[in-house]
Amino acid sequence: MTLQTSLPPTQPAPGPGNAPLPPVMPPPGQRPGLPSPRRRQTASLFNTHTLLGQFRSLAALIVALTAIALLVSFWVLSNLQNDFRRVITKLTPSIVAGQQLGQALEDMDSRAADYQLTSRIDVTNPDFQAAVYNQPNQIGLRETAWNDLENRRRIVDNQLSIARTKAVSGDSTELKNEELDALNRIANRFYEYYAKINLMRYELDQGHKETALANYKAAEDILVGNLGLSPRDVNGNSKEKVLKDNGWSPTTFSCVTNCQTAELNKAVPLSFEVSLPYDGLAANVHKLAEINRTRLDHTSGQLSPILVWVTAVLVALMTIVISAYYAFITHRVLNLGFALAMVAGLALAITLITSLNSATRDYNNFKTDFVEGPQGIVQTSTIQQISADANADLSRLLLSPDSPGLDSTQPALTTDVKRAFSRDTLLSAYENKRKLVQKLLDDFSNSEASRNWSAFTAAGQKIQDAFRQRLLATAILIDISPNPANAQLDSARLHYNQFTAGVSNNGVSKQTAFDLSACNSIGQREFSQTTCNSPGGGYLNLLQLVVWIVFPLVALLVAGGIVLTSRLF
Amino acid sequence: MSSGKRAVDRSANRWTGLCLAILLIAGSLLTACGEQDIAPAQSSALPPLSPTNTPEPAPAVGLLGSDNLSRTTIKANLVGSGSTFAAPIYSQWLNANDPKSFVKSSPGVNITFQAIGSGSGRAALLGTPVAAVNDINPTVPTDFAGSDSPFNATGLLSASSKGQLVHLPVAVGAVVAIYNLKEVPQLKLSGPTLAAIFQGVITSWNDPAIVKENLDAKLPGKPITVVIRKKGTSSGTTDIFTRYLSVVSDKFREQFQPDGSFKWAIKSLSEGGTTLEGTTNEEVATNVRTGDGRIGYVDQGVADSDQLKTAYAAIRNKTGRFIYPNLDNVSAAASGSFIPDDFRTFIVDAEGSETYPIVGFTWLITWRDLKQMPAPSKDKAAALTSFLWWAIHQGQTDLPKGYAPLPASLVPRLERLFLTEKINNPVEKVFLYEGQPLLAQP
Repeated sequence: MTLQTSLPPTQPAPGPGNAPLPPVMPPPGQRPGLPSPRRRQTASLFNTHTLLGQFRSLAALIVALTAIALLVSFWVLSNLQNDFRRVITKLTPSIVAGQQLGQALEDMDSRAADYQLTSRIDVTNPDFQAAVYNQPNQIGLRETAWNDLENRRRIVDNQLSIARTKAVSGDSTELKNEELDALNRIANRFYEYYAKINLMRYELDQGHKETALANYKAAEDILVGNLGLSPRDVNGNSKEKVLKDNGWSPTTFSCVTNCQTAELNKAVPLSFEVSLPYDGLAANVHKLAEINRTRLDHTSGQLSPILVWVTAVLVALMTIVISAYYAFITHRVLNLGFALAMVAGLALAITLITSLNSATRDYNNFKTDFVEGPQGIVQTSTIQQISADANADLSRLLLSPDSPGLDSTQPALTTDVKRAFSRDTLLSAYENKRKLVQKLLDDFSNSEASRNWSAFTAAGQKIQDAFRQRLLATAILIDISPNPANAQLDSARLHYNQFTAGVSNNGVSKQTAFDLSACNSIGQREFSQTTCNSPGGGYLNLLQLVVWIVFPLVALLVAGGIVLTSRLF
Repeated sequence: MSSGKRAVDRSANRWTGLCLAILLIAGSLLTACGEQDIAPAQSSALPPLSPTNTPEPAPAVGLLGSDNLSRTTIKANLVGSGSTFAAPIYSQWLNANDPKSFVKSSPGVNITFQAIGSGSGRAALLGTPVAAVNDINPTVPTDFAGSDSPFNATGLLSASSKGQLVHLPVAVGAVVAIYNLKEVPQLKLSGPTLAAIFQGVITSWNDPAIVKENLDAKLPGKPITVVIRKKGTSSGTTDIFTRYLSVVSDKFREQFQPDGSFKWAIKSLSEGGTTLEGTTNEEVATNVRTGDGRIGYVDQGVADSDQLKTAYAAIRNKTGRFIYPNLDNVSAAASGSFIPDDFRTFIVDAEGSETYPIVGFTWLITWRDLKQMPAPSKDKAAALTSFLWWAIHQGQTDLPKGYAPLPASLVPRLERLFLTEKINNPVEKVFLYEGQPLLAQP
């Protein structure tokens, strides 16, 4: 068998399009009309008129492709890893810190109302019950309420510190400043709020119940932004307060006017037009979470694994082409270099496709399932925040000047205070929040939580009934006693605690799953104190290592294949 | 009657109601401004009321005025039961021989008051059977209770199936710590020391705590015998006294049970202890008078009475002053106390240097909707409302010795129970008959 090692030169057909080009002038010292020796050598190496040249050209193409694929993979995987790390160690914890901050604040406010309630029933009140007020040798509901309040304050302090640490690390100056601005406002407002709550306590200890209520109202104003910094409606309420009382949830908070509460499908027409001023404590906590959620949304847009897939598949295809062409030309099945390169290229392409698919899925899980999904960390925390607020509304209802125990002629009971704690206002706010939690629970497959919420709202009805009958002590016992005071009473607090414990379980299991995925992907975990099985490991690190090894390997194998091919020709 | 004439009458009635309301408010203002410490006497007559026989539905019935009755012409029989502490007050108010008494000015109204104790009076109001006290059988249905302690939440809950109760303070009284110690004509005691005595912690008259407060006195080393009201019975005097001791002593407050009831830690004779018991204030006073080294508590009226005159201690008030009760400092205690809108509170340990600390209201308790009275009638409702109005006005100048009038600032707040206003006084807070306010809205 004779091998054709060179092809006859092809002559261009004469014609107008094929006019001969003017001769190129050679550099000085070189004969005109001949290429340089190096160019001649290169041209002969990649001379596609020869089979060896063709193989060399193909191999060069593959090597170039592997280099491109390597660069693209490095870029994408680095970005991916950074995104994962940012989501796992910064954005999600910041969102969680913001949510827990909000929840601790609502809880703290609820306990402040409880403390006031129990203080109303002191020993000069005919309804005094040692179990409600206090026992010298046994902590009563009054001290329990204050201790709970202090515990919440510590959580707020702690979460503020976590959020600040996370804010300082990473991100552009602009975003960082926005986040730090929100955090500074939260810190300032929070200490103003806490000062008012302490004033409330002081007044109660002096027996000045009306002044205590006025101080609690001042604290509430800091919480909901009734600070005189932005317009208020006819009832003296800020936009933040109006939205909150109408079934606010984070997804419906950023409207300007004619706001729509999506969950309750209820329009909240505002009598004043103003974009959300973020004056109040609660609004700034929300803003903090919103900043990080926006970042999370933007982060997901930076994922571009398709580039890696394309380049890796091209490399694999080219190794197949060169191997197949070799086999076709030589009628030999195997060139060891090309064949191994093909196997490596294919294996790498398959690995990259599946791993990046898996990474994309994990990434989406972090965002949509763990963080923002129907049972995610945000929703869990939102339910807890709104339910804490609803629970607080029941306590606030009992603080109302419409309930027994206050002297309505006292000057501290201003029209503003009376209006803020009016029965109708508080009942309406409670009802909105109750419906909102119910709606959120519909997507929340936790039958225990749903059952306990129903029991809590049933106890809430009993509190309202007792309130209507002006049975304050009975209402207080149903509201905040951790256990039913007697067989005829119920305990809203018991059911509420069981409800929040059930909801928290969801949050904890989400955080555990989050940590597990974080360990798998980047070898780092955030919420649990324990370390991953292989700290610093994770498939993204491994994948980068594989890419660094296998792409150059493919190139080397192809080069080896060319060496083998050269021996034949 | 033609419809035109009826309309003219209705219009005239509305004008009459409006004018009367203005008079009433003006009267109240005069009351508040005219006198500092005691309630006015003659300035606030019960306003005549608007007619009720209007054919169209009206927001207020104007029951009392419906028959154009003044309190002097109403004919009705009423029965009250309760407090032995307040019995002298009702006795004076219902004494036909007293020219200033209510029955003198309203001869058609016959009111009987049974002094069976505050707790029994409250139970009788709810229709609960109670044992006879002082040979008085309280089986006669009671239209109102006289009580030195208000209903607590449990009591209100029991009553709620029938209706809502209204607590109307009618006078202020002092509880005194009486003692029998010949060697010591004047004794001074602070709240915590008194609490320790009544808790059985201090058992001897020369205990350092007592000595420290009585450096001028020669205190004997005699044992202290405590006299209290009979355990297990409800006593308004005991309620005021124990609430005071609980405010000033955390240890004493421990005797309050989780359900709000009070349980003495000291043991009575029947329990193997030394504590003596008395069924009434008078019995407690008698027990103290008949044994050396004894100490007890009664209302000031009993301690000052000619028959049972007993020495009592000066009590240290919130500012550190040792003080004996008198009309001024008892009334001042009520003025300086927090009084909620439902008037149910113990006004002990009040602020101010001129206040006596062991003070309490005596309340007249009845149904908000007077239809809930036994054998109800519009006349009975009108008569009782007239009596209540009289009690918080003219009655304040006709109190027996040992009882102080209500603080003047409280009277306008009490008046709101009688008259609805368009603003700030919802119908739910006033006296009713068959669900309608007794007095017409202005």
